[in-house]
Amino acid sequence: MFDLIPNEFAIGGVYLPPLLVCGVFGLILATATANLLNKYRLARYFFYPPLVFVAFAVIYTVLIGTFIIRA
Amino acid sequence: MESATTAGSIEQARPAFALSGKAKEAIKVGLAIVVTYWLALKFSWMSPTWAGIAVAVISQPGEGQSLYKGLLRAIGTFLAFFSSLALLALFPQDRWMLFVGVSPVLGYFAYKMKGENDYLWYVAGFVTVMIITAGPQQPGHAFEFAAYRTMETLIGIGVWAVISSLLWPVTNLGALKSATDALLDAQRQVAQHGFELISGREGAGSPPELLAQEAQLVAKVGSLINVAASETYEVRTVRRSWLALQQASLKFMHTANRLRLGAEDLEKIDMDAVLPGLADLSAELGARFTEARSLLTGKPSTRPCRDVSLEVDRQAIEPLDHFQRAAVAVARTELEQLDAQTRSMVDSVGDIAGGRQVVAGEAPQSAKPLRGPAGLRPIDRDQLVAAAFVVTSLWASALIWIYVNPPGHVAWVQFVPTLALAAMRMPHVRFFPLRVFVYAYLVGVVVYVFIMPHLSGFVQLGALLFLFTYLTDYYFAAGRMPLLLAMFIMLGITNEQSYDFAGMANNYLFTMMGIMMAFGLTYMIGSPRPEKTFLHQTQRFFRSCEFLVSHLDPPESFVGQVREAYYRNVLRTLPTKMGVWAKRIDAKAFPKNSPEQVAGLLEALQLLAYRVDDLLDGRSSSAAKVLAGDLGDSVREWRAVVDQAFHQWSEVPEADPGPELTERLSGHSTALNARIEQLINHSGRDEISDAEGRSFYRLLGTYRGVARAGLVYAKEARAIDWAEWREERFE
Repeated sequence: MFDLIPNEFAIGGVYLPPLLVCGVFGLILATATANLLNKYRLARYFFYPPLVFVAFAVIYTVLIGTFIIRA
Repeated sequence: MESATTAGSIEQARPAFALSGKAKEAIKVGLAIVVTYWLALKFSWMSPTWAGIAVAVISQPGEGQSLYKGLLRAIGTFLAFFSSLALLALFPQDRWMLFVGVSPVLGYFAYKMKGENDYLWYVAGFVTVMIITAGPQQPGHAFEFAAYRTMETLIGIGVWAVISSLLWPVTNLGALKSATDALLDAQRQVAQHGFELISGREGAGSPPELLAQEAQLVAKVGSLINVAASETYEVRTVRRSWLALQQASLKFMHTANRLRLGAEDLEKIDMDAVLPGLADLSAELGARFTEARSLLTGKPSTRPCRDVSLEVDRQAIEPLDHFQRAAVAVARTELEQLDAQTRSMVDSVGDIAGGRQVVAGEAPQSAKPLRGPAGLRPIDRDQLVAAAFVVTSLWASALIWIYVNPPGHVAWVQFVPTLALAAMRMPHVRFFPLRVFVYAYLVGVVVYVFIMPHLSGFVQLGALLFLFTYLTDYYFAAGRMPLLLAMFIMLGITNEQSYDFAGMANNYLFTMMGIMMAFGLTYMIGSPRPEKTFLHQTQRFFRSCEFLVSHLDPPESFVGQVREAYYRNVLRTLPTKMGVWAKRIDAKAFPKNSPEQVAGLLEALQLLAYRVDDLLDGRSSSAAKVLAGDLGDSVREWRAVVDQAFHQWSEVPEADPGPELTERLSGHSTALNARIEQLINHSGRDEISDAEGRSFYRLLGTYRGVARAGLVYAKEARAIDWAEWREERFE
């Protein structure tokens, strides 16, 4: 199923780099995860949440780039 | 000419199709933008955007601080003009030395960026960076760049001044008078509640809303005086009298606050019996406020200020112990201060109504900022951090530009320090302006891609500018400035307009990266979470208290005086800063700590700050020598106890002083009371009628007040769930 998703996104004839798209989705997912962790008071188990947020964003970007968009 | 406060009544009387005040303001701003752009394009100035930005920034609707803000912007631009050209002349062709040279200048501007004229220093800071980095953009044209930048800023200010004064002019005189009237009324109520509280007729004192309104009105009147004076001759001629009135109101607010917070010390005392003139003074103050409000409306004076005696009734005070007498002495001093301050307020309003300017030397002494040795202002740690942060952002962005050179290029050095300066102007709302910019730039991109290429000629461009400015000003007043700035920067209007999608995309990408970098850098100065900052500030507050109480003797060395001035400044300014941060704490995220509990804690800290400050004020009096001499051992022991408590709280704000320490704090007073009794009996002096004795009791009252305030803090701190605030969370 994931093979059907194009590697590059074109908006109005302008091609966007796949990494940019992966990065945007990575940020959105990291934000959602952070909100969920806040909601269930699980963020208190992290030593420094700002760094954890960056780590989440990187992990999601890599996962999306590897398995979904294939940057 | 219409006044800002009468806008409501004018709107009621207007015909059915008349424009609203809001629409008029939006039209004025739109027109000023169009005229400014037309001038800049007609004469082929370097970057018409600068002139447009000047109008967008200074055009403030309603309360219109426009001309005054324009004046600050002009002075800031001139400062930047001279400082940046001097730097360029000192370090030509040497980028590293140039950055080394600009760092202290930028740091100084960032350090000065506080108080009512902070905008001036903000402008000076970012324009300096823009001019010194003009070289790489247009080699050899730095002077031209600087001159155009200054001239276009002045033209923008000039265009706005002409349009705002010719088209539906609105002045701030009405707003100033209205705010002053509201302030006098609020302070009348505060005084009334205060008298009821200390007389024991009512337990609650002034409601928090009234106190918040009073503080807001004092600040509002202060900011409106200069604004109205820049617009109106009527205010300019009596500006000093207005300032004297505002200073008297400010002092009244602080004194009434001290009285209110210290009222607990008087709860077992029949104040009406001890000070028989209390009711008379209460009535007199009420009458003075009414008189001042009447004078403000232009009515003639109906009554002079009456003298009220606040003599102590000897029979009533006889049964009181020495600490209760001390509390009475403190309250009496504060009541006398209220008397003098209200008198000064009535005199100032009389001067304003009569058109008399207070002679500089005769003006009531203003609430002077604290001075350290050699008349220097004490170091402000928060401003120092802001300066370091802005300079770091300059270096970080310069290194990125020089070694990485991503899209944006030299603009990194202009954009990131500008954002850093903006963030430090309001550190408690660190990310909000940055977030607004993200959306605002997105709107700019849409206009640039879909509308701009279809335009030809200034008529169409002018129509677009007017329409966009009008809609922004009318419908998005809260975010108007970022929207207009982003729009003008994104459009980059010039005479030879060209469109480049890649350029625009790179520009947008650079902007977002710059915003993210600036936000990331803010972690350097600590977590943006307000509750974390509040915790650190509480610890800093107690470190200051600990230092001041443990070093009570006046310092002789220069370094000692600098340290004392620093800590004393922290003590005086920190509770207000903490109040600003406390309002940002998300009550929903921390349900165990209600805003009321936090407000209670802040009040305890404010009381402590007042009492420690009083202690320092009274340490050189003759009474202090008596305390240090005859009661030296007891006072030293007392200081050690208080010192220990402050030390504990500076490490753990919620530390329970423990039953032992609490008992010593309050129990020690009983022992000291017995020592004083013994001392007075031995000396056989008449302690009340004697001025020296009064001074002694006043100082004793402040000693006791510090311990009592500490106990109040301990009680409030117990109600707070500190662990909840310490818990880690994502932003």
